[in-house]
Amino acid sequence: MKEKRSVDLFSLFYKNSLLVETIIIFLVFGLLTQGAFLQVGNLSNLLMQGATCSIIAITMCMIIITGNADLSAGRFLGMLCMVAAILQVTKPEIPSWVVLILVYVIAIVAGLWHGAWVGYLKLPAFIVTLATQLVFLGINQFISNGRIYGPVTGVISQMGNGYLPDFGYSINIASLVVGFLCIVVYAALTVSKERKAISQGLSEARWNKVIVKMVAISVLIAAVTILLSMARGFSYAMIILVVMTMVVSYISNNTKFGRYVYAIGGNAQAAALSGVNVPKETLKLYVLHGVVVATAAMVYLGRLNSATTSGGNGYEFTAITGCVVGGTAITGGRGTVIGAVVGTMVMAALDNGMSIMNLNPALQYVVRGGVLLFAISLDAYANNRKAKTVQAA
Amino acid sequence: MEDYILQMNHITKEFPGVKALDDVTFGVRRGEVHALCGENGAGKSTLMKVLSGEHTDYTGELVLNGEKVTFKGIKESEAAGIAIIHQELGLIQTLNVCENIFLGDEICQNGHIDWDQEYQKTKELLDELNLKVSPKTRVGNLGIGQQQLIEIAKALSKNCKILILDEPTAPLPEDDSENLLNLVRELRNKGMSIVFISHKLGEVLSIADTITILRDGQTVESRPAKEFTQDTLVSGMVGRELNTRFEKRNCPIGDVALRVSNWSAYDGINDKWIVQDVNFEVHQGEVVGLAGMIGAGRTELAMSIFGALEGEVTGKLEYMGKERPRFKNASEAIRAGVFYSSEDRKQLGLILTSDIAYNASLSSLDKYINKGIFISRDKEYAKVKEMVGKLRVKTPSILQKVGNLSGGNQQKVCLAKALMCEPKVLILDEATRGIDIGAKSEIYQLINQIAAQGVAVIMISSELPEVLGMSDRIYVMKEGRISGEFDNRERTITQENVAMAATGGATT
Repeated sequence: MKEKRSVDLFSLFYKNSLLVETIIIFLVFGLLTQGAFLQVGNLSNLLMQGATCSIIAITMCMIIITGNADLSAGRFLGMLCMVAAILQVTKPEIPSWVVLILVYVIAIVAGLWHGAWVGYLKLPAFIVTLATQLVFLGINQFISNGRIYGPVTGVISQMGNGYLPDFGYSINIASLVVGFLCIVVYAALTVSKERKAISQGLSEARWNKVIVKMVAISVLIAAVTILLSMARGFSYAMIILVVMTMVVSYISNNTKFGRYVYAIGGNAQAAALSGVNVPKETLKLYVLHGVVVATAAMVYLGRLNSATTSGGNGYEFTAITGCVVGGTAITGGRGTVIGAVVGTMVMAALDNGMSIMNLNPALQYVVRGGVLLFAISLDAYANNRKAKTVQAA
Repeated sequence: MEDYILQMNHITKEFPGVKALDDVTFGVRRGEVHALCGENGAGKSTLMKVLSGEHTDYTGELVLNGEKVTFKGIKESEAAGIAIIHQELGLIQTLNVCENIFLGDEICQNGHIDWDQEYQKTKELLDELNLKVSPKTRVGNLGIGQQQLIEIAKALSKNCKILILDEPTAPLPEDDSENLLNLVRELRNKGMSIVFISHKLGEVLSIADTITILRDGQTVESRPAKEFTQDTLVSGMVGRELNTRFEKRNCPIGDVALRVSNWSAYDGINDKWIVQDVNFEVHQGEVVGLAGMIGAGRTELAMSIFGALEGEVTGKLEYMGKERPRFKNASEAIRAGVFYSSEDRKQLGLILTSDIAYNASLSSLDKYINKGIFISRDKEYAKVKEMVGKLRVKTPSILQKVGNLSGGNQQKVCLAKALMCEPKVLILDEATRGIDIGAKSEIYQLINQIAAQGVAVIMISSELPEVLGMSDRIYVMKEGRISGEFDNRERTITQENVAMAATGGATT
């Protein structure tokens, strides 16, 4: 009897591990930094810093779900930043949106390139992207000669540094409106989804559970909105992050392409025999990933205002770590886009908190490694337990 | 008092929400073959897992050689002389025979492996089993039948007294099965006790000394095998009289749906022609049986038609009365209306980590698309529900993970996936392997229904009674070629006819 209760506690913790981790991080850093961590300015800053890696995580998690990987994302991001910055600095007559389009074209080509090797020639993604990581770094150094290029202007600058307009009020009106629209849309969607599930007999109509979760999330959105609106409001980077997360998440759940991504990761051979064109879907995914990483690159470039040869170094690992923390199975087949994005944000919060505390950078690595190890062992433990209890059927 | 080597008394084992075993008593005498029968989910595997120590939280007692024992894990039960050979073989394909046999139990001297002694012992074991392979052969290069014997050798190397064989003949063709059964008899005559689990009742009756029937976690009866007939066995297992006879279809056979001529397929890795000069056709509304030994090229023929075989394929394909280029891949074949349901449902058929609805609709998502790109869950779930009801898949919800279903229900999900594509030609590869009698006869009825709707069905099966009972025409394959073709519309072909063609006797 007693054992049964502790078992339930674990699964409760596991199901909400992201939430628990977030609360722990906020409490611990809030205390350790005497509240500096929780200040509105810092939270806004944190969201800006975390946005780049979180955007990468949007499709990184889908790539991991197919059982592949992309180790080149960070260096690719660095190279795109350099290309855009050099164009803006040396050819200021080209409008910034043209530069943007050019960056996306390069991203699509790179996506096709990766997709062809991994999908059609069936090479291991791990090695292919390790190779292209070196190539992208080389190109970055070659075209820049090791120099720093900046500043950037126009759309690109706005993507990383711009905020919603405040129309001259002391509080950011546009952000408030956007935030409350989000809540309304979210609540409406949740209710209609649950209703439908009940009418199809797929849910047990536990309304109080649904409502509690819905209210909690709505309050969270409202709190963040009000806090940020009192400062500078929502940045375009945050909006890009949220919109892309929602769009890709929707694609992953509601299109053939999304279904196939999970199928390929769950069992590629069975998927192929079920009529999934595995090479084609893999290619599509890498192209989508290229576009997403290019967006992350522009957000990053806009925020830093200049490009260096070391730009984006290690970002792929932050994104991959975030995916794992957010519940993506590294063996493929399982995970969600939203989980990956939140997981990456949690990692960003961890970095930010440790920086504010002035923790020795060497120790910061140890902490980050520890969190990754903890996340992955939690996942493995939960799976083992499940494997042991499900055999009844 | 009879000489029992093992007694399991009043075993009860509960899983959350299910009583898998309910006061089961099971006793094995020294030197007998004791068959354990029951439908899928009757509790056979759970009982064996209690015996092997995989399940420890049960009530009841285990008595081995007159002493009460409790095992805390497989290691302990192995040490006590109990060996289980599971349906899914536990050999490591990349290691050789000797390494596999002594894996985890290596003969060591001063920390290094004594290879001479290991090879010597392996050789002795293989001789004992009449298995003519070198101890240095890689296990992956052996056939399934031989691999099974290696597993038995492994058990013998551990001096086991009780050998448990879980569905040993399910993947084997008739010949190898017979070999295995002979071996089991030999082992028994040497004094070993054997627990034999099988769905093939003929085999059970021919080999067992005693038969115990389990149903819904309870012992139904346990009597000498002589007192059973196939019919009493079936009614004991199912709990009702079951009509296993095949119904004759009365649907008209239409035009040729699919025809291949001079069809050959080449396997570059093993450097041989796996399908050679095959001429083959199937009509609308016809069920064509494809019989033959394992490795005769039946699966390869099907996969090559379906466009899913890696390797060079040549030959002409005629589909729905028109000649057309060969299907390049599975998605092209499915779009044209050909569906292949694989023999290996876990590896090639299903995505076990996903739910029923997801698996069932995977091949036919085009039908549930709204506005060009987005999947309509309403349409999808409605259709899946309809199919799940029609195929009588036993599940609480269509959102149940497929990995949690029993073998028969998994097979039905495979069929649901196939049927939701509304194919014109349906290739079923070993559709009834490893599933219980009740589910089998449901699947037969289903095949009859879809044939009546004009679908051309190609049925690959190693179970001759099913091929003979279901097919209008039978092709037999041997070494990549068609070695016999029989008209079976009147159901007059006998097992002997087919077996002769499959093994190289006379053809039509």
